[in-house]
Amino acid sequence: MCYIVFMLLKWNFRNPVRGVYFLSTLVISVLIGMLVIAAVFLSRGSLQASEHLTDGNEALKAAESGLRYAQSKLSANPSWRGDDNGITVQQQGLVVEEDNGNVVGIIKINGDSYSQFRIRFNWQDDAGDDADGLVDPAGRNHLDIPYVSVNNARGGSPLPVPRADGPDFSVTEVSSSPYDVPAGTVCVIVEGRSGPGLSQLDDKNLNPGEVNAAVTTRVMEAYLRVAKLPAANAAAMAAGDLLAELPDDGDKKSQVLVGSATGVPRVRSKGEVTVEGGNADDNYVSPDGEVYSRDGTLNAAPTSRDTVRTDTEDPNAAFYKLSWEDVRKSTSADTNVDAGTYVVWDDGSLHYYDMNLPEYKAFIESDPTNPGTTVTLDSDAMKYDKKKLTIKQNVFVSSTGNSDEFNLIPRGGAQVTPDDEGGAVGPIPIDELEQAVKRASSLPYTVSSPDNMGAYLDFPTADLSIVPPGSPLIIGSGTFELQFYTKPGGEATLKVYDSNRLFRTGPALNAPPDFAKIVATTVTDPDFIAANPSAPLVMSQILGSLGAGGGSPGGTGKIDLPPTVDADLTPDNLEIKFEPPKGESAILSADGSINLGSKVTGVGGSITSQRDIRLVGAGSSLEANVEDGLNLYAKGDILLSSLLPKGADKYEYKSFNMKGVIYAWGDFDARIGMEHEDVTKWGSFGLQGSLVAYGAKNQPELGDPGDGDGGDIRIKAKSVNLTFDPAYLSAFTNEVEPGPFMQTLFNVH
Amino acid sequence: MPEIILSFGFFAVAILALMGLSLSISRTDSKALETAAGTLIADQLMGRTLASLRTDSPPGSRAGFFSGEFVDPPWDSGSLVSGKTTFYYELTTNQVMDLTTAGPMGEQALSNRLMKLNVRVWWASENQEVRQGSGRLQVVTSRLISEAEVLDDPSP
Amino acid sequence: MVGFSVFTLLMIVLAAALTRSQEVWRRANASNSSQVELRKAFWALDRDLKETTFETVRATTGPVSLTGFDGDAVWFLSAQDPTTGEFLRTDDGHPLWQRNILYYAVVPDQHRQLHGFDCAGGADGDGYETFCPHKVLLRKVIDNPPGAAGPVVGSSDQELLLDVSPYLTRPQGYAPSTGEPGLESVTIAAKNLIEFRASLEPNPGWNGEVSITLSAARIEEASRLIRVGSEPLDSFAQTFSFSLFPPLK
Repeated sequence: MCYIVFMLLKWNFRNPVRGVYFLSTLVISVLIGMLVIAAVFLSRGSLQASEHLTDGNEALKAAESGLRYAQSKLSANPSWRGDDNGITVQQQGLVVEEDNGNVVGIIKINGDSYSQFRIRFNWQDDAGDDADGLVDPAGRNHLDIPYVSVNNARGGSPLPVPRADGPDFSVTEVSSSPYDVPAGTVCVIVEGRSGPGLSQLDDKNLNPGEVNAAVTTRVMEAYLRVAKLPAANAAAMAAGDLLAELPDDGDKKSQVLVGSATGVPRVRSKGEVTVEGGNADDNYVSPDGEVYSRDGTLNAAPTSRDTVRTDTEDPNAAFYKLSWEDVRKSTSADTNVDAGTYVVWDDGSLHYYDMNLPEYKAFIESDPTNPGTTVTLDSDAMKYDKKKLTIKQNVFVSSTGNSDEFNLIPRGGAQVTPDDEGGAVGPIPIDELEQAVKRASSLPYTVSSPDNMGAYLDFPTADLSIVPPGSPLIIGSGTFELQFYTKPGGEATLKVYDSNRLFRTGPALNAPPDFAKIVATTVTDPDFIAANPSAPLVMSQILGSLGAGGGSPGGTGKIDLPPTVDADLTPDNLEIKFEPPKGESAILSADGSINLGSKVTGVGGSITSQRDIRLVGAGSSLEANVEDGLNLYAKGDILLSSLLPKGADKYEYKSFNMKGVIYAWGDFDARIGMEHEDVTKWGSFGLQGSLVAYGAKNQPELGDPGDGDGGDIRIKAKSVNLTFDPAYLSAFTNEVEPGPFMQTLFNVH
Repeated sequence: MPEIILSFGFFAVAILALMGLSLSISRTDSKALETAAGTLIADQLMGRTLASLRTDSPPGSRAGFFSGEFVDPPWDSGSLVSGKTTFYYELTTNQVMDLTTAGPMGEQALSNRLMKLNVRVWWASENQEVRQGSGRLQVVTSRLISEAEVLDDPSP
Repeated sequence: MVGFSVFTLLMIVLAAALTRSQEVWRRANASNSSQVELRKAFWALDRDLKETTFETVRATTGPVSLTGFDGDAVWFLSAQDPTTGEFLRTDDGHPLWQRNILYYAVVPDQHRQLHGFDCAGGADGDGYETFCPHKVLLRKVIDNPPGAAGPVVGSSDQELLLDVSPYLTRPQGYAPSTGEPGLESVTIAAKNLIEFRASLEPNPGWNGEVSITLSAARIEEASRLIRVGSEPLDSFAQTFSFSLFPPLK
């Protein structure tokens, strides 16, 4: 530049031209001006960019503020969806208004400028389908955003999250839904805005229709799920013992894994917590987890004991209380189906017998070709077709005079274990009977003075529907007899009578006889069994009636049919599928037990019973199966068995994975494996949700855990995976308790 | 001669523009960088406050945060250096009040109390946010904080 | 003659003013350029890290191209569908991880072709290279294990990389590398950086913090005053120090 100027001067000196001084100055000045102005624009652009960064941040913070506002409101009212109509907050620097599902809030940031958040649950569809159950908000609160939040906290199954792509930002029947929000979850989508274009915002004008300058927008999405329910804080809660039996092969992958979706992984037992078998070093894995037991110990492999924190379970500490009144169930106002036993024959036809399962077994074994009544079960709520029963709405099992159960089994029956051969004659497997005896020992009873004819045990309560007063149950004949009789007040007496008095040669009867010893002596002594072959079954039936299980629980098991009868179907060939409308549940409820000898699949299904629930043949053979969404609630016991007959007297156990709630007033028993020479494969058991064995069986109402009978959790599987997620509990109850909602997903659109 | 005078006029304009604007450019440029830095610092302070509340460190801070307002004295204050600039900060809190109940929004039993956290970061000088020629050198931001989001373990 | 003398003086001053204005513009331009790159880097990291969870975030030192580490490397899982960009989720409302995202800073190869000279490089006391202002921040999307099931609801095959060293390669100029196992895409998140440092939870009591330092230089201004690439750039550096707090899990 200096050279050019010099040359210009030199040339001008020799050839003076008028105006050259001015022209030169002008050109250079303009150049200077251009450079400086360019620099000004650059620096101001930088400043604006920084302010835009600030605006972007403010928009994000505004969106997050809206999200935290929603989180707070949901915790107080899990059904909230922006419908606390009116100004809910009005204070210096913060105003929030809710209007029929639309929420607008402003937050003062710098000086007098505001940022804004907007949430909409309202579909703004009054002019169209009006499917959201909300009146459209006032004009000023009409939100021109396509993102719609969805509250599915009380939904039984996933619900679509729609986009408002209809006219005037409405949601219509044909609006797109890119994904579903799970049950027990609220999808909150918040738009945050900030920038000079919002300069008209003030506490009287929360949502200006048009903006006149730059506005930075950020959209934030989160899933909020129920995180805390009273006394619901463990993946498994047992009023009795918690026992996990893994295979003895020492497989390192054979473990119990306990996690939590919300906080510290935990199991609680008022008795003992025991893990047997599996990984010899570390068969209970729960990072940062806790185990609460009666004596504050964990009976497991050495490394497990060292890595998991253990503590003593307070005997008075509560469990999550889900009473019969609070649990969602179907009623007689829903579609009814007759109680009884529904049997699927090999040709796929469905045959109905108006009787409970134990009676059906005895009946059909005496008359194997009796067809019962052929039925179709075809209604809006449920449809049977080709070995598959689809339940789409709530179904109530209506008691008949002869039956109060709902049983669906293949013609050949549903085996719980390989030795569960059924039949009227023959000894019951000793290990099962011994288990029953152990459980029977805990039955409340008092011992009357024995006489020379037998021993007497008095029970304070008994199920009078099984043995009504005046109609004693007398089982056995000849020299051995069990007499079981009840009285109108509910008491019952079991008389163990043996005219040969063989049992007297065993335990001494001078001391109060121990019921377990009596049974153990009578049913394991080979001479006694030879003399009284029906004795084991008699005891099993007695114990089954008293709810102590053993042998063929509730009448499940293989049905003894002649070879001429086609009965090759197994539970794996049958399917019950729950398929409710999106966001809803389909609930099967019965006053009596529910015994299903089939696969149970689907999402949004619930089974409730005032007695026992038994799923025999459940689970999947697939390695990576989609977990089914299912809830099970029984005032008695819950039994799961995934036994799969493979032919040639060989068996496998399928894996069973579930998301939902298993809530038993009595015991929970999962047989997903078994040490047996004919079992070639064990399955794995997985549950995300909550598992409770409350220990209140035979109680009139749900009191404190352990007040009644039962409460044990027993799981036999190759591996056990429990993840506590209270959101499934909340989706199963009629009223969701207020409590904090936790975030499980976060996304910025 | 008139030509020279005119030339001087343009010269003066150019020089004055350069002198005046170059200072302004420099200040604006610094302000741009410092505003960005200040914004990021405000975010960092907010994030660290939440992280402290989650771990309840020091012990009792979480309960204290949601139990009342911290305006004067503030919840936290101090300074930190980024690059060549010292940034001063102050965090204050306001309780969010429920208009329908005329009381604080949320309750301890439900772990759903709501607070408004305000962060102010300035860098002109320790005592004020305005600097001659640069205007207000300050970033102020606020966000609502819900008790549930900082719960370490909601299980009892 | 007098007029000529006055005009000569005027021209000299104007020439100086013009030079000065060039410096002003150069500095403003350089500052703007470096802040643009810093903002680009910030927004990219901010966006990605907000959508992951802290339990999947890892960090380590980056490659060595000259003397000392070029910077740090940060990687984590992403639930973004690599095809549609949609955020995918599991049936029970958690992110459905699709890919690994890796960020790292590196001095590009073919430096002379790009910038007309080679940076000699120089390391600071921590062992990080801080003389070369031409580093690029690369963002790599990696499928691990390679061929893992794609964005199918229910698929949860994506695994967090344990070792990212095979991926910390130098691009040829601005042409990213290819052929690394499972590598699906590479983008340049920002150019002309001096420094990219990342550390996880550097301070006790602040769980879940990803602390990041980005710096860039006013290169055009520096190149007039020092030998860029062979001397420290402290006087010309602009720095963003920030923290991100992804959801813990």
